[in-house]
Amino acid sequence: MRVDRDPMQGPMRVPTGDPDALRRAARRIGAIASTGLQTAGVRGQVDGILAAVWQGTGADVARAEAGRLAIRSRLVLEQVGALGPALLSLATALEAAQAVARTSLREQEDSTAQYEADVQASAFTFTPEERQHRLHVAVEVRDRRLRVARRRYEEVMVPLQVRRQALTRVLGELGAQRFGPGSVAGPFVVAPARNVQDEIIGDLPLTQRMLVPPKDVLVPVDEYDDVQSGLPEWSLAQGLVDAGITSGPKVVDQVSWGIGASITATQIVGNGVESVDWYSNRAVPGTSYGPAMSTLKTINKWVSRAGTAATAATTGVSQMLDDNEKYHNMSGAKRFWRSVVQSGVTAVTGAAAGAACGAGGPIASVACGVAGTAYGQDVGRRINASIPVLAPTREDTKRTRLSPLVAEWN
Amino acid sequence: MSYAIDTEGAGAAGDTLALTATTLKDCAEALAFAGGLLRRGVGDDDPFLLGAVTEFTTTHTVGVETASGAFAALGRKVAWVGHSGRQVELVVAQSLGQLGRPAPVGHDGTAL
Repeated sequence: MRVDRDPMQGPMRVPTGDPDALRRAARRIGAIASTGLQTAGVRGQVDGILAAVWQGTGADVARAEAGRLAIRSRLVLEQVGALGPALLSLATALEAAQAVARTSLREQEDSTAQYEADVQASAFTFTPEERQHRLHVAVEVRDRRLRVARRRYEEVMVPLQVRRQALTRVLGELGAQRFGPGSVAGPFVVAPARNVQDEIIGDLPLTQRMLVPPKDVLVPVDEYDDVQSGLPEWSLAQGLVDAGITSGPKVVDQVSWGIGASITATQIVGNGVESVDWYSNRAVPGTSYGPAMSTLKTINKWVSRAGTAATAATTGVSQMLDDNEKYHNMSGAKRFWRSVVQSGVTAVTGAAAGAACGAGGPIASVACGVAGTAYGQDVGRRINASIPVLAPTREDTKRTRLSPLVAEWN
Repeated sequence: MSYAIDTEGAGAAGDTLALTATTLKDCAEALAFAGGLLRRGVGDDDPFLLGAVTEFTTTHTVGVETASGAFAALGRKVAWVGHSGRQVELVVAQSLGQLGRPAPVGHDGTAL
């Protein structure tokens, strides 16, 4: 690599570079910026779409991350697009400099050749004085031509240097801007190496979870959040929380432990009373719910008439199942009474039903009604691992974790 | 606190995010190529300029690629949320059948 930066010193030469490549690059980055900036995600339009189809704390997290991602993506693409004018200016200056440099170099060669021819021709003069005069003229002509060529060369190299420095300055200014705060920005790091990925998604734990292995995600995880299993705990468990099903950590525990479609459904059925009012009174302006949403709303209304019994049964069953796993060394009677106490007075009936389901497993599940059916499947899966369920089981997820087809579950 | 989700709408939102991701992936590839053109274009007379160009194009290519992956990840997540909501609907419908209660019109199979 040449490091002689001052073209005014040293011999003339054609500056390196390719103006056509610069123009092509400018056109391409212009197209890249405009194309990227037109996408719905980068324009932030996903926020409105999500707001129309999904409400709740989980939705708030997704919308917030999508919004931050859009802002950062815009910054990246706008910086790329901002290079265009400087590149075109440099291309123009470089093209002119190369043309003039080539002309000056030809002039240098021509004047030198002409001088040599004049020196040879001077030998055919008749007198020494005449020969001296012709040599003097030849030197003057050569030097004049060289000076003109050099002046033209230097004149055109000045704007080229200006354009190069301007582009360097623009690149430096743009490069000094960080895309985002990142996750490791601290006051004790003197000269942190730039980590672009961290700048963009470092403080977006939801996005990070889908991109990097769970063990590398620095997010606060409570004891019930089974991140290591790779389960889709966020959607279902968060959905439970969003649905107002906060009857204690056992619910989150079960979903984190396993799947949860059955559990979730039962709990939502059981909590239909709480849900239906919200769905009925909720007015989202400008929203057109699809048939699926209507279905869920209607189902919740209908199921709410099932009443408190289902809720109580659900509570009792889930408590019993929890205890079966957590306190497997405990006697059955003790576990039963523990579940009754833990579930409270309203769950006494459900605890009895739960006792039946828990003891009988899948065989007795039919007799347990809504909660019994769902939990019967769950019991069967946990004990026998043979009854198919609608959602991926924990075992299925673990077994297929390496398969790219189900990678999104992780 | 409650939640409401239009399962089909969530799937569409996931598709929108995925489309953005695909476009940005193409942009990242194009930017990598344009970065090569830029390096060729500026030449090597000015090592500071060449270094700045290299750093800028590398940084922003990684930036666009990371944004692409992030949008894809969010899209998968949102699509999954819609999918899991759909599963919930199915199990609720199953539970209604188990209870012997009628499902909403159009969702009980009579229209098939």
